[in-house]
Amino acid sequence: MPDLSKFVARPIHLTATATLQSNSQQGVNAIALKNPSGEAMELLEIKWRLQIDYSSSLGAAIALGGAVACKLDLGNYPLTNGFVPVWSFGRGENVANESNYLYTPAAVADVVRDEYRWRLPRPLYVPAGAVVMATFQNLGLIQPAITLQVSYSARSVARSPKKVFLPYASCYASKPLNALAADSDQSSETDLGNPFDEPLHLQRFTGRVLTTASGYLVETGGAEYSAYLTRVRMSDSFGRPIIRSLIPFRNAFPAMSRSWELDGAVMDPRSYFNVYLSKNAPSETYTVPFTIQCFVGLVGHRAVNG
Amino acid sequence: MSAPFCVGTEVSTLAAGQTIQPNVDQLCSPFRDPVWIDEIAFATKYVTNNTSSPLGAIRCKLNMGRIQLTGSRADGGFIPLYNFGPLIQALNVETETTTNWPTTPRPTISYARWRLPRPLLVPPGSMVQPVLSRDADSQSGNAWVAISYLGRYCEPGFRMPKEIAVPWVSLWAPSLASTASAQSSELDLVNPFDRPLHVQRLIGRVRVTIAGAITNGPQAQVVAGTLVIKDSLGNNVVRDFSGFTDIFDGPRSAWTVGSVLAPRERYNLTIQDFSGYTSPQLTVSMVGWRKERVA
Repeated sequence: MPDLSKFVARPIHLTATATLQSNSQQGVNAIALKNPSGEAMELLEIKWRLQIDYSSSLGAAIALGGAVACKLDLGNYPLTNGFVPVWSFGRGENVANESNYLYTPAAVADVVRDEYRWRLPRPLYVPAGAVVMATFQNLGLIQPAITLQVSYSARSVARSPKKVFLPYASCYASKPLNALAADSDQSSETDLGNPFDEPLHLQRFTGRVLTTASGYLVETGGAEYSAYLTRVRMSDSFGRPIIRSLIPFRNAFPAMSRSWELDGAVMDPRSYFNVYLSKNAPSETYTVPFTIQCFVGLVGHRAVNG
Repeated sequence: MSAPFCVGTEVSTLAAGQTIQPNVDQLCSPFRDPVWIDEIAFATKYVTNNTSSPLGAIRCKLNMGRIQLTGSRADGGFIPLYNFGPLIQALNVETETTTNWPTTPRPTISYARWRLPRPLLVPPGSMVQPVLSRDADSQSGNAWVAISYLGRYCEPGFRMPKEIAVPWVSLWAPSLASTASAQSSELDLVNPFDRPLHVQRLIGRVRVTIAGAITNGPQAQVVAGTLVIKDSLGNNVVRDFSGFTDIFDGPRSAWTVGSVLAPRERYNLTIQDFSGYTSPQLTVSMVGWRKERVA
C-alpha cells in the first residue's frame, strides 16, 4: 500500500496534432493523449490551437474557433453534445489575442493562428489507462486545411474519488442570418439540453458571433456591429423565461468575456433551453453584403458515483 | 432548481446632455419571487466612427427602491460606464470602431461589464432601477444604450434573509480643464453608511479629446499625472506621488484593494502634473459592498 501522506501531485501535459481538410472529420492519436506513466490523472484544462497558412483572400484575423468543432468522450461517457465549436467551451479572456498573424522566415508562408482554452468546471478524473478522446470536424467555412493541436493540462492523483464530476458542453449554432434584412432563427430541443438523469450544474453560457463578409470570417475588427443587430430571448422546457424579452445579443453574453457566467445555476434532468434569435434590418446602409451566425454554448458538469 | 435569469432594456435616443430612464417594466422578474443578480452588462453605440471612448461620457445611476447602489458628490450618483468594472480586455475590444466595416455611416460600439462584488438579492416585487445620462460630448447623433442584469432565480422555498449584501460605487471626478492639480473632498470616496464598507477595488480611468475624437488609450494615460492617496486617519495608502498608470495599470485600469472602510471614513486623493488635451476627464471610482436590512 503506497504511503499516500507522501503523495505529491505532478503536472502532466499531453498534446496531439491533426490536419483537417475542409468538410472533413478526424480523430487524433489517442496514445498521445494518454498519461504516459500509466497512472490515473485529473484533467484540469483543455487548449486548442488552430492554424492556417495566410491568404490575402481570408485576411489576417480569422475566427477559426467557429470553423472547427470538437467532440469529447471518456469511454462511454459523452462530454459533449456531438461536435461543439472550439470557441464555445471557454470564456473569452483575451479576445484580442485569440487570433494572431505570425510572420515566419522568408521561405515559409506566414500563418494565422487561433488559440482557445477551456478550464473545466471541476477536475475530471481519468482512470489509469483511459483517454479523453477528441474528434474534430472542419465545418467547411473556408477552403484551406486547418492544422490543429489539442492539449490537456492535468495532474497526477493518488486515489480514485467517491464522486466523479463529468464536464458537459453543448452548442446551438444558428443558420447564417441575412444581414440585409430582418431575419430570425430558433434552437431545437436537442441543442442546449441536459440529456442525463442528473442535474447539470451550469458553468456558463458562451455567446459568439461569426460574421462572414467578402470571404472573411471575423468576430472582431468591426464585426461587433453584427452582434448589435441581433436580439436574443431564451426560455426553458418548463416555459420559464430565462432571458425574459428580446435583448441585444451582447447584453445576454457580455462582450468582455464572450460568456454569461452562471456559477450556482442548475439545469433540471431531461430539460432543455430554447433560444430565439431575431435580427433587425439595420438603419445603416450596406456597401457589401454579409451574413451573421450566432453560437450559444452551454457548459457545465454533473456528478456520478466513482 | 436555481435556473439562470436575465432581463434587459435599451434606449436609442440618448442625446448629448440628456438624462433618460429606460423602460423599467422589462427589468423586473416576471414572477413575484426574489432573484440574484450577479452581473450588470452595458452596451452602447454612437452613430459615427470618430468616437473612440464613449464609455466615459455615458453614465448610469442605480438604485433599488430606497437603497442606492451608486453615489457621487457632483454628479447626482451618475457613474461613467467604464468605472463600474475593471478593464478585462484590450481597449479595442472594449470599444470597437468599425473603420473597415461595410456600412455607412460606420458606428462605434462599446461595452462595459460589472461583475458585482457580492451577488445582489433582489426582494420580491423590487427591481434595480437605472437612469442613464450622457455628457454634452459634442458627438453627433443620438446614442443607443442597452443595460441588462444577469443572475439566477432563487431556489424554491428560499427564505429572504434579514440583511443582504448591496454593492456600492462612488466616484471622484475632478475638474481638470483649467488646472493641472486637484484634491478629492470628504464627500467623494467616502463610506457614507453607518456600517462598514468592504472596498473591493479602485478603478482609475482617463480620457482626453484628440483631433475631435475621445480616446482613453495610451495617449490619455500618459498625460494622467501623479497621484497620492491617504485615508481619513492620515495613513498613507500611496505615500509619494506616483504615476496614475503605476497605480491603475494599463491592462486593468484597476487596483484590487480588498480593504474595509469604517463608517464615515474615506480615501483622500490628490493629483498633480495632469497635462491633458482638450476636455480632459479623469475619474476614480471606489467599488465595494455593504450590508443593508431588508423589510
